[in-house]
Amino acid sequence: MFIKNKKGMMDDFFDLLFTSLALFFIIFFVQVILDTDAETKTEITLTELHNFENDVQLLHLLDYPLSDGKNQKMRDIILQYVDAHNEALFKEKMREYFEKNNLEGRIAVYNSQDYLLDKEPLFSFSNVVFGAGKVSEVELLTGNAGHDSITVVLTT
Amino acid sequence: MKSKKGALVHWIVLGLLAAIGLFAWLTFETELGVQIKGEWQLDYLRNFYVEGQEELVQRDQEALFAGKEIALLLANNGGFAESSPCGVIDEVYYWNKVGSFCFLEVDAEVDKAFNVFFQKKYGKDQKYTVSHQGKELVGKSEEAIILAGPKAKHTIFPHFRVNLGYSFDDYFQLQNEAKSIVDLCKWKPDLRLCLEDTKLPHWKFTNCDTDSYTEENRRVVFCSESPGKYTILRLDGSTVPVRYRFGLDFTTS
Repeated sequence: MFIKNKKGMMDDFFDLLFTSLALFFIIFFVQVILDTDAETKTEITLTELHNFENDVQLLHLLDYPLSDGKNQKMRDIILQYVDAHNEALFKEKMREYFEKNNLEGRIAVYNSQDYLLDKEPLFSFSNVVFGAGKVSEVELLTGNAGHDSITVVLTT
Repeated sequence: MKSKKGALVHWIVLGLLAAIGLFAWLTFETELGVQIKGEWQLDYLRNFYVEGQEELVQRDQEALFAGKEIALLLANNGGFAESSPCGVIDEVYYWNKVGSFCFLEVDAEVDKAFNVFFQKKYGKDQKYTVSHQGKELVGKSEEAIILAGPKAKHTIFPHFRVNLGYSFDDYFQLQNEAKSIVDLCKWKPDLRLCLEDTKLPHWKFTNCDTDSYTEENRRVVFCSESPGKYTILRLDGSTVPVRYRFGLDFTTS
């Protein structure tokens, strides 16, 4: 009896196997299609776009010409203030820039080594209170013995 | 016959499942459904374009620093980057020798001094063709910087144009003044008297601070304040006046 029905059992077994596999793939594809969240993808795009805008903003800040009659740019005076340990003037210039450009965020200047070690910045200025945001950074070589290079970080 | 048909159907279903399985395996790492919009473009902008711009900002900064330093260095060497064809005596670079002048090719000296300083200071192999336009120092790079990744390549030439707040044109005026002084005084037996009468107020003897006359075999060392009254604003915020140091030879034969 057992031997007689073995063929039929194998047929049933394969039918079950094929049905299970077919169901598995059908469910897999349906899930992939349903799981595609267009909103999440758009959010990723927008986040990346804001990061890019932040990068451009930082470059704009560093390249910003000052009307001091000395043909200096913002990056020049940042280096000067770091060298002279003049945080007050740094804050004043940054406040002017942030106000002129309707910018909200935080700018910080680190010794590059300290930045890598997550240490405190040399100077910082902020006109908002927030925890995290878009972060852009640019390293500048100073040519001075005190700090070989500094890293300017803009968070908006 | 009956079982053969059944087997065929089973083989077809098995084949289909195998094909679907193969597809799923091959596209395992490929995202299905809606893709992130502008992913490649934004990746390019952030990792290549912005990186390139940052590199250019840094290069400008380095060029500005190097330009200011070589302006002071050249002024101290009478404008010569290496040696004066008219001779160097006691670290004083001479502008003339007996009857002839060794006129400076200012841009060639600036180019030489800049490249030496830049490579020494920043250890970069980049070779620049440097010239000046008014108060600006212009550098044209001969080599490109290539930022390459698996999906994109971005090429930038790190040329620069930085405002030194100083013009190398001072040399042209000083050399003209030097020529006039040599022409007027070389035949005068009392050289000191002639020079004191002839030299312009920004010309000093030996040292700009002491202004003390010294003469050796009718060779006189001068220090001149910048005719354009230029100063160099260093990165630390200090201002250094540009002072030119050079020697003139008043021998006639």
